[in-house]
Amino acid sequence: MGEIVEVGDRIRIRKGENVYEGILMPSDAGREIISVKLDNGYNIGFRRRDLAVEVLEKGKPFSATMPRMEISYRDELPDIAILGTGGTVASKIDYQTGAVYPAFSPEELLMLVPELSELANISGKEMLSIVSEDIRIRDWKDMASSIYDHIEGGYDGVVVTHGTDTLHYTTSMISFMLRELPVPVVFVGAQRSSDRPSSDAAFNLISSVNFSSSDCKEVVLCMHADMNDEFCHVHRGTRVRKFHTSRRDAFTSINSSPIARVYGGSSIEFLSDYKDESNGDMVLDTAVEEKVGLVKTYPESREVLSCLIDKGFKGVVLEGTGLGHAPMSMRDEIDRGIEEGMFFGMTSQCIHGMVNMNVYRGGRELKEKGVVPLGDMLAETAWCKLCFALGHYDSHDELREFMLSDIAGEITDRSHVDEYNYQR
Amino acid sequence: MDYEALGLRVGLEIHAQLDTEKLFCSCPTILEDSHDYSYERRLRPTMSELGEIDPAAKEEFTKGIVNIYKGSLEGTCLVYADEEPPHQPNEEAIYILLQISSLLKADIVDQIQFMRKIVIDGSNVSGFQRTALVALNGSATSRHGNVMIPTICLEEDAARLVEKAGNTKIWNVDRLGTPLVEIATDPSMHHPDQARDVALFLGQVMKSTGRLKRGIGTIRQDVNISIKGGNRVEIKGVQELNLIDAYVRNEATRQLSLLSIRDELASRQAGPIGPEMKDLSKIFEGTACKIIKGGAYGIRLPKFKGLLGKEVQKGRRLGTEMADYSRKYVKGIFHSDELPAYGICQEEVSKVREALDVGEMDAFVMVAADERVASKALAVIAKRANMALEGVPNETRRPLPDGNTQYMRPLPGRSRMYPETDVYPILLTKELLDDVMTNLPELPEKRIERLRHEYGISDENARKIVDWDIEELFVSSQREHGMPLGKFLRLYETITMLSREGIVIDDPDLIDSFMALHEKVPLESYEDILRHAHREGCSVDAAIDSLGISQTSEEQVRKVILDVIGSNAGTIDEKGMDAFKPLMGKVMAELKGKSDGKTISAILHEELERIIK
Repeated sequence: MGEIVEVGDRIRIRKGENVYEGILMPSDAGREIISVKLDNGYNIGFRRRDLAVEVLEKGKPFSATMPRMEISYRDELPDIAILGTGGTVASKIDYQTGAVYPAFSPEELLMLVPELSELANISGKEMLSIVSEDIRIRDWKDMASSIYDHIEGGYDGVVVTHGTDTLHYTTSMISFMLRELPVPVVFVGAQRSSDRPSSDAAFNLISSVNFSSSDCKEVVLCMHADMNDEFCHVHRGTRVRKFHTSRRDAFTSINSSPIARVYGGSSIEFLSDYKDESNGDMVLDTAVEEKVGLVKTYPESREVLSCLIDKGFKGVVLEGTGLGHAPMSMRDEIDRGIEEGMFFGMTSQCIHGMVNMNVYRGGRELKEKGVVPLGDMLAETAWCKLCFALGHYDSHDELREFMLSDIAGEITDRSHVDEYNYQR
Repeated sequence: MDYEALGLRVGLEIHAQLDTEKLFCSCPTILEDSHDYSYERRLRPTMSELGEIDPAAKEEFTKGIVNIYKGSLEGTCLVYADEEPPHQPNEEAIYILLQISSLLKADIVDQIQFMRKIVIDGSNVSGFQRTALVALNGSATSRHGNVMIPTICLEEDAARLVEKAGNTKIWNVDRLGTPLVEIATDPSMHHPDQARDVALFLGQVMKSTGRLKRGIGTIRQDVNISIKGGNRVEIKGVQELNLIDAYVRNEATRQLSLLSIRDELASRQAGPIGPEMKDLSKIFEGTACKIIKGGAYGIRLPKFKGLLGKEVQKGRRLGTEMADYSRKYVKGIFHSDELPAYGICQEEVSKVREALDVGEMDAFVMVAADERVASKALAVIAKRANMALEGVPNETRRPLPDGNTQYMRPLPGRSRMYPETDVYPILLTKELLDDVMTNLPELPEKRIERLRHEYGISDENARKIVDWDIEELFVSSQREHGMPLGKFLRLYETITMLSREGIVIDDPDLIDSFMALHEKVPLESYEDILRHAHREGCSVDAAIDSLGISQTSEEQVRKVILDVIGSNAGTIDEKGMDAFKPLMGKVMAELKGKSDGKTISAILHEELERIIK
């Protein structure tokens, strides 16, 4: 067999007395297994060494040219930009190879989610293409700039598609980097891959585009509220977290209520207060410090802190236990860090509830040393905020004041009774 | 009928449920009507890279169909709610497929890759069914010749449709995810008996693994049939294996009839039929026909005279076929070949003929409905009439209990498939395959032969034992307890009868102890003992004692009989041997359950004869 066999070629394979024909598919198992798509549609794998392979016809290069689609601009509809960062909320499938391709252009989005054309004039763009667990601070800076430019360019709202793993980190960081928003910035993702008919992607996207022309001038996150395809919840970007590895309703508001329910492309029901005014001067501010730690305390977690201090970190958000406690065994390292000029803020692993370091002696002592209790802020949000704070301030007092002031709804001093296990 | 000359071609597709946990999670595969939760979903059609959306999928979606899924907390999990990625496939299920594939001498793949087959009717929560091709090119044997088995697949069963009302479908997810083995033959079978025999053979092969679920609906057969000049028709969901040959015969007959109708229409030079209908309502104002309550509309079918009433299957006519096509819109249709009838008089018929301009060789069809519904119904009927000009339509049909079939829906197009990337492909190791080969279950025929030889039992009884899958039990009844076959079969039949009442006797120790005591227990008491033991939760011995059943010795039986004879001398004088019956009654009243009816009867007979002499 001297000829080269390539993926996409039509081949005939002989295995003993059996003969099969099909298209050569890419194979995960590398050289050992040959994967073939038979004419009946099934893919099968055979050990290469048992086969005689013959090329019947060379494959044609795949070109995903979709039919041209007429998109008409409607004056009465808002102009919404859909910016992609890598999370696919719309995709096309090549049934020949099984490959799944993300869809970005307005034409593609409208073909896959035609309901959008009733809600807005959309334009789509890929800002970034990464899996969200790989996101880095510099990506946030690029993202904030791009969103800023689009809003400056006249869009009535911006929807950003994003992977769900770190979605709540992004919404927090962008909430600090972009302020006095004149329009909504709605982040959206999908828990089920968008190539499947049951995906939550389309419904989430429709709800997001719908909400993006509302008067809510904040960075928010819009995802399924429960197992039903009935309505999505819109959460404040600094008050939300992913709580389940796989469920559609993984995202939940913490220490706050969701801002709204969105019934797909139809009604929006506001559930709590939100910012509906801005001073007209949108601010893009991407100055952040990268050497900031987020440390979950646990018995024997002292060494983790030592490493960060040794590496010259400027600040650490502690995710302590209960009301905001850290093990005694960490005390000396906390002291050392503070002496080096590091800022320490305290949040809780409990996730829900406010920290209060006045109640027990351990808490009080930490506070006296200079660890700042961060109220009812989420640990991940607090980390984003501290990165931002350290990009602007040096002194402990300035930092403390900034961390404790309400920039984007991330900290309050009232805990409402219905904010824990709220009715979906 | 000469099936060869007809060019009969039959293919089978069998789906059987495996008795394991679900295919991609660890939930049990038990059916449960009650549920603890429900949620609603809409499935969206997916698009190929060429911008193609499946039209059937788009239609479902634009109708706004909402699927409501219900499940029990105990029996279901997030995987089959499409809220968690699938776990790795059930290893037991894979093993069973490898056994079946080996028994059918198929070529097993080296790496199993699961695919997603798009299914948008709501029966799969994710909008696709996971399916994998495990083996190819197997063969099934039958008296009429071997048939090739191109594919043996492992796939997930679908959710159960509980209710469909308007735009809402309610599903029960208990069955969703049950592993299914799918065996497809090529369409080369050429005789109805062959189809039945192959179906039986495949059923036996699958059952020989001992891991198939039992009961109604656990095996589904789809039969594909065509004759030369006809068209492929799929009969979907045949449950009765023994009727398969009847379905094939009747379908061949039906296709032949449709072809002769086509030929007749051609010789009459019939042309295409338009759907233009006429309003006949005025003709039926004040009609005696109770079915027409307002609107009545009709179309003319030129050159169709006599053909609507022509039988295509026993008791079913071309007109019946048309009525089935329009069933979505109207309950039934009227056609000229059967009128006047149903309260419609000759005068009305004549007026209709006039209104529709029905000529001598023409027929007409009429429906009782409002204009909107009638136009839909008659359009479909016109469509079916046009199909009659071509011959046999491609369609999926539903089996009826009498061996006939009824139109169900058009033949579906090929479903889209693409790889299931959440599940890593499974490499089949040599060790695994060697294990399968060295532990292959025996094919039924071999088992039957072996039982006959080893135990000297009849072919019929050996077949019973293999069919009911009670070999092990039988063998232990023989080897360990020397239980006579008759008693063994009676024991098993009694257990089966009780299980239908919900009384499940499955404790191996209990059954074993019963068999051990078989000499002590007369046949008539089997049921009583088992019921008692089950109810009281006691041993067989204790049950026997409680019920006062004892194998009375022959001596004692004789004594009782002599007593009865003694007290009934008068009856004997009067009736002679005819006294047997009444006396037997009295004897049994005293001895019932304490001895074999056969023994008692023999002794009574003996003693009676002696006395009479």
